[in-house]
Amino acid sequence: MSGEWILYIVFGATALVSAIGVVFLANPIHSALSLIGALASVAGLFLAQEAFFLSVVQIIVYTGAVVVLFLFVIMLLGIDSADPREEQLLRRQWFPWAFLGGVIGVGGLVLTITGIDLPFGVSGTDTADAVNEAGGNVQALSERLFTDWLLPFELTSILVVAAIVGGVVLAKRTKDLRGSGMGLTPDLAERISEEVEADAAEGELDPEDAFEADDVDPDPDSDAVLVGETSENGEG
Amino acid sequence: MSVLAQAIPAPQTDYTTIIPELIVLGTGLLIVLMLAIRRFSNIGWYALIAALGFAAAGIVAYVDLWPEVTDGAATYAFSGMVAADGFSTFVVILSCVAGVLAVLLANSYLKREGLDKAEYFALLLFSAAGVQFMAMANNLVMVFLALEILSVCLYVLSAWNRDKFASQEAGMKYLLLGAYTSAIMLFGISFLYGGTGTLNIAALAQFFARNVLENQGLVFLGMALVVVGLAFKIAAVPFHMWAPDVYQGAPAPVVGYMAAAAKIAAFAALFRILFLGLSAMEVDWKPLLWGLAILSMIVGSLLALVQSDVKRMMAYSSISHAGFIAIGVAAASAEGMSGALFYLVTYTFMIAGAFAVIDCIGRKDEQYTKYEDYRGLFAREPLLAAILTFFLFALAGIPGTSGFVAKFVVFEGAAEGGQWALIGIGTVAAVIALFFYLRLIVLMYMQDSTERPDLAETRARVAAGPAVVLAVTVAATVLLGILPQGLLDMAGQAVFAL
Amino acid sequence: MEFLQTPPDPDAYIVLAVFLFSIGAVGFLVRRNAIVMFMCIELMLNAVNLSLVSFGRALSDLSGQILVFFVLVVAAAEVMVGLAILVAIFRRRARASADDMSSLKG
Repeated sequence: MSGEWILYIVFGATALVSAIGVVFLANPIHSALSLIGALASVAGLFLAQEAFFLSVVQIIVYTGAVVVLFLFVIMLLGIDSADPREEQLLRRQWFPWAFLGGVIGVGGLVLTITGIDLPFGVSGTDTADAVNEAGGNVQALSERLFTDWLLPFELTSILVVAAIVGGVVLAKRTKDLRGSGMGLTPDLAERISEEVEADAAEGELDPEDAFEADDVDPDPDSDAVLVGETSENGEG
Repeated sequence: MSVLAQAIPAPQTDYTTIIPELIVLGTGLLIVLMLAIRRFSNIGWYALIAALGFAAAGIVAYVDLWPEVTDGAATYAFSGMVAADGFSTFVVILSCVAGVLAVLLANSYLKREGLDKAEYFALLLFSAAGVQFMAMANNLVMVFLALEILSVCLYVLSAWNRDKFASQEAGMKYLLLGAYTSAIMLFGISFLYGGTGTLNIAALAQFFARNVLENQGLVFLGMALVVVGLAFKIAAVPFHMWAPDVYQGAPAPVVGYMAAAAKIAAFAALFRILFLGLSAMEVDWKPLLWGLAILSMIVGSLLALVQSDVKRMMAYSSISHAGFIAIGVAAASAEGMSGALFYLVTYTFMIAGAFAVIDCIGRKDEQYTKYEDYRGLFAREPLLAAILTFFLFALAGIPGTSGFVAKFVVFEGAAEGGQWALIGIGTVAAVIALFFYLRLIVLMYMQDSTERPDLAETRARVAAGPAVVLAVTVAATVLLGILPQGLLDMAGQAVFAL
Repeated sequence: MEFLQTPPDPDAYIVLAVFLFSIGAVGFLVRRNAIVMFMCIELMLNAVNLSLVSFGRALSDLSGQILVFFVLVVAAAEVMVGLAILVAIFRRRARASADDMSSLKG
């Protein structure tokens, strides 16, 4: 039995099983862990096809960064339990069959249109020997990337800058309580300011001081209360 | 060690072909840098810088590149990654115009809503660069990357209003569905690559000229999936589900820009991929575009009839406009293409103007966007009502406005290809569209705003930026309606020099 | 098992990629949790990556691998923006279920 077949069967099977796990597990954390399995298996399949650089990058970028980001956000937001409605759906007896039917239907349709015997008439110049001569997979790829593919490579930097700027703007909390920050709805901000003024009337606190303080202490407890109250307000 | 000693060949760089893009990107990065180093308290300065950046890029493209590219054949730069030709330069100039309008609209909006973060302008600039690179892209990877730059910026801009849940929801929906369709489009690119062995669009055409495929399934599916991905961006039925929600939830100035920018970019890429790369498969993609055009025109117009929110109605209207522009592509002729380009220009002006009015009438938090809020608008805000009426007539394609000329030239292109069925359906759709625009117009001129003291008391304020936008867009819509020849010639030249 | 003696055909990888893709595509449609929907998109992108590498190998061309490299970057950028929006939404709402996203109606 050819070695590549072993890799193909082992990693292909784990990829499919863990991919199904991503969809079928009700708890997002379990889905994320299952996703790691799927991504690592694809890295294995890259390895089987002698795409060494991508295989390593796949592990580092996907499992190392993307899935960790997923897990981080799941933990940060505390959605580490399944949505009851969704769990109900996933537990239905017909659901696996419907899902499997859908997958086989879509996949079968694609394969029928493309034809399972794919036409591979064209042959490029990057044969395994040519790649070896260039010094290996990494060398050959890097040479391409920094010559022919220079402009797309530079454009990815713009994409990343745009994503970072966007991410920071969206997720950053502003310091000013009266402004838009901390997820305060206008209603809630008004209520807080009323409370502060009421306190001030009792002589406990000067409202001006309370609000001019630039750095509102991001006390985790108080934040939790704010989030809870916001959702109660049912703003939307 | 020997590997290190080996010098790799110097990359082929020709930065002169992408000067406008470099200016736009440079301005965006400058704004990001300035935000890091020192903050102007007034974001007006950043708006000024962004507007100047757009203007400079547009002027450079028109003065420096336009005469050059319309003279001869396309020049390919960066190892065939980008093509500088009349078509791409035309789109670059158009995207700069859309950018200036967007900056003018946004400045007062951001201040009014207390969302004044100058990153907005940086993202606008980046997204415009995405549009421009998409028009220039001569490689499917470039198309994909530029589309993603544009999309990522638009996702963030849609979710910009952090005080409004609807805005964040709009951003989230747009992103989820956008990422989903990008994955589908990418699968299509992968099939095209697998079937032809190249990602270069010009090389695709050469491949089809040299080879006759025994099994066309792979490239056909690849082409179809790429069309699906781009159809999503132009909000063509049946890939329009996101548009009503995003248009309704996103800030009005963002929508005024996004509606035009996303269409410009996606149609530019469609033109290039289908006309240049896959012209040999015309029999295959023509029916797809037919379907998209017909469905978008009919479904968009019909669903717009039953809306009760102006922004949502504009979403369905934009869907039906996508259908009209798609007629130009489906015509598969130079006339159809230049007609579609002309349509995109007029649409850019009309939609920016219409959303400027909607923004002013919506006031703080955009709370007045329902049809009910527009009842009796003429009595309260005669000028705004008159301007909105004008734009609605232009969008409907009443003679004398640029909207009419645009529909006319698109139909003309289809007629040259003998596609009378498309023209017939388009005419029916235009008549239906007239009804839903008229419905809003009639509502505005009704005389019973007595039940709305809240509206009667606070007058809508038109800040300087939107005022300039309104003046420019009204002027452009009138001018292009009466004297369209100059721009028509330009659009013709752009396509001719492709 | 005669065919196991020779290395697998590129077609074998493509079939695997197609099914991986359809699991992601169908999963996106059936799940309502925004984070899991993102994961399904990642699955789809990975299937695309797998098919690109296999096509590239069959064609003896490195462009496929280069495109995978760009897909990795794009996927990371999209996930980042998506999760940022999600965090912003969660500041005001306790659950990130797409079913709850219903404030936008006609």
